[in-house]
Amino acid sequence: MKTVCAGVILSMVLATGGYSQSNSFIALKEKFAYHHDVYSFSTSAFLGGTILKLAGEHEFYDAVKSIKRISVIAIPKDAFRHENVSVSGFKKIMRQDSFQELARMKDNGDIVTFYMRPTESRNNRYMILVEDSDNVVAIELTGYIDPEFLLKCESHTNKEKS
Amino acid sequence: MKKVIAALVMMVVMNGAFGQDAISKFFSKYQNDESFSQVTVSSKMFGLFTNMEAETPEDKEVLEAISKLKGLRILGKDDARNARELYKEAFTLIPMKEYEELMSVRDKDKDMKFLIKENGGKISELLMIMGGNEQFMVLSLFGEIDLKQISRIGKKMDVKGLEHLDKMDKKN
Repeated sequence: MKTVCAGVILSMVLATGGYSQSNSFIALKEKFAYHHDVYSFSTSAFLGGTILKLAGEHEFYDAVKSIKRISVIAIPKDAFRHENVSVSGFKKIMRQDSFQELARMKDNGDIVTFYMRPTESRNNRYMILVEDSDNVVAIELTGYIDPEFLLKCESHTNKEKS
Repeated sequence: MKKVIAALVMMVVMNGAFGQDAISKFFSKYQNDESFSQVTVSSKMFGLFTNMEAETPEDKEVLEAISKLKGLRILGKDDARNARELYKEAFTLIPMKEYEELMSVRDKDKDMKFLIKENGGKISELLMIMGGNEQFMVLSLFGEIDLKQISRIGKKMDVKGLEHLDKMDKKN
């Protein structure tokens, strides 16, 4: 009986996990699933929120407390070259997947781009794409982020400067 | 003939791409210089504020003002020994005839100039140029701009410098 229950729960968790990721994120995972040095994980926001609270990031926690799920994948740029694909190609997939660019920051050669796929309910999808000289990290968030906090994030570079 | 048409089309496209706002020239010149930081915020971001609920009438005014913005671009350099030179260069690259000076701020650390572009009686772009001893920044905010709200918007966005426009409002 325990095995059956565990199996049902596991199936539900896996199904929920699969459902909670966008086609863009799934495309990345499938493309780079068998590459070395590609790391990915997905977690409920409860765990993420707990980590933020423990880290004392209360402002960040308050802004993202309506986030339900976080998925992260880190891919070396070598893997992109090996697969003969590009980050700009992935951005094209994102656009086809209805993600819209909110903002882009470039600092010391690193590029951070914020995307969003809005929904009528507060169940938006956000994708943060971080590109440095060696790696590409995609972070997908499902839920709702306070726009005011997002705007502050974008202008953070400016804040540090002034 | 096809080449000529293609060249003309390219010229139009390039003009459209780089002629949108004043710092486009800076972006095109310094976009590959890693010592510069760049921030670009799209109209989509500002559009998120359209349906937000405000707690106070003042907040509502600010949210309305934010939702009318179409974009923000920042180009800046920290630890820039040539910050003053960049500041001067800004005025040579920016088509100053299109702008009207709104305010200048000078203190021991930096010079700041605020310029506006008007279209049909409405402010369509606010430009802030800052050159300090080691810091340089050009900020272009475009869309439908309500100057009375701009310092509050600056606070919301944590964009330093825009609070100086608050002083202008009080003077008036």
